[in-house]
Amino acid sequence: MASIGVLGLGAVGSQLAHLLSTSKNKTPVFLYDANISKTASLIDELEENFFASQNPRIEDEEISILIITSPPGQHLEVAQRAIKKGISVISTSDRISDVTGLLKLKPLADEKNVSIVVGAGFSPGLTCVLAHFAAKEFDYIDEIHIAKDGTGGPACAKQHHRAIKRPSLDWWDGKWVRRPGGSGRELVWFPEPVAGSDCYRAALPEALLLQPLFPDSSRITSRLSATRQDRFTAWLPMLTPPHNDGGIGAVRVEVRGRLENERTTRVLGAVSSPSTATAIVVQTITEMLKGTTIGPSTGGIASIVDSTDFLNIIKQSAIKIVEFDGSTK
Amino acid sequence: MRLLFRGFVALVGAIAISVIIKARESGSVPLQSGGWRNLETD
Repeated sequence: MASIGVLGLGAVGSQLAHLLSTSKNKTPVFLYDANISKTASLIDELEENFFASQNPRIEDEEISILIITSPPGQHLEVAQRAIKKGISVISTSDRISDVTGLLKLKPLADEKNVSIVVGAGFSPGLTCVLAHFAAKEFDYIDEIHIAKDGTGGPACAKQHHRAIKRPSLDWWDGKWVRRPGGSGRELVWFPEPVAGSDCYRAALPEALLLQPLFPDSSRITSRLSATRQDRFTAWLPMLTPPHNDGGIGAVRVEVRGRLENERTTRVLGAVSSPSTATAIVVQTITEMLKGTTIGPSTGGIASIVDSTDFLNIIKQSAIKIVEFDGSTK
Repeated sequence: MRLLFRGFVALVGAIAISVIIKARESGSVPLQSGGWRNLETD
């Protein structure tokens, strides 16, 4: 029986393992983490179809899907090895270098007849699906603006710290534009209980994943919420150790376009703990990949699955998906 | 003494520049009227 490999048992990986153990289909799952004691204690809590492995020896196991939930920056090399062995890859990384690197592996993935799901998380991931779903109502898409608030585990907090000091990558009037991270303050209204939060440009990969879906759009941007302390200390190493889990977070997706020659805006949002939401998104895409509904493909979630089908499944989970009803001006 | 004075001037200058940049930061403040409702996918 084809099995699943989970590489990295941090805040996302451990929650994902628990979610996979509730699945009706008892597919063998191999868990890998550098911390062996963490893997051993997690295995004790899970079903009999979960196995521990000391390192990601992809070559030894009969894996059909490898889920990489290790910290950003460690995805590319292992993904390349997996694809060469004919294993489909799901990556949760939100680092631009990981996303661009994985997208460049498309010819190799096509040759091996496998899928690469890039940026499978709360943001990017769910945000891309929300943008695609919102866009279905329009005749023409002008702009997509994404904002996110909150962090998951320690690796996510470190990536947040890293992203805010690095240049953003936005799609602006038909070309890629880089602007300084931490600039472009904008007050963004997220769904309750997060509500208003100042958001700034940062090194986020949303535009990279959405631009192939909306090549004619004039602007695709993404922003990250940050406090004054985050911005002030962005150039320094993290002064305090990151928390185990950042708690509740939210995303907001604003799509502007034209419907019957009239300019319209649609705003969608989601509220959840980012690590939990990422685990749910990964579980959903894994189930869809395991089924025969998706053929081999490479890209973000929105370019691989139907956004309506995906949201119908996600809505039944712990993620609250909402739409703004009112005026945004 | 001169070095101390230069350091002090540099510090005051840095504070002044940050205050000016902060004041000029043109963050638009969008207002919101309405509310969030559960998304309908049907």
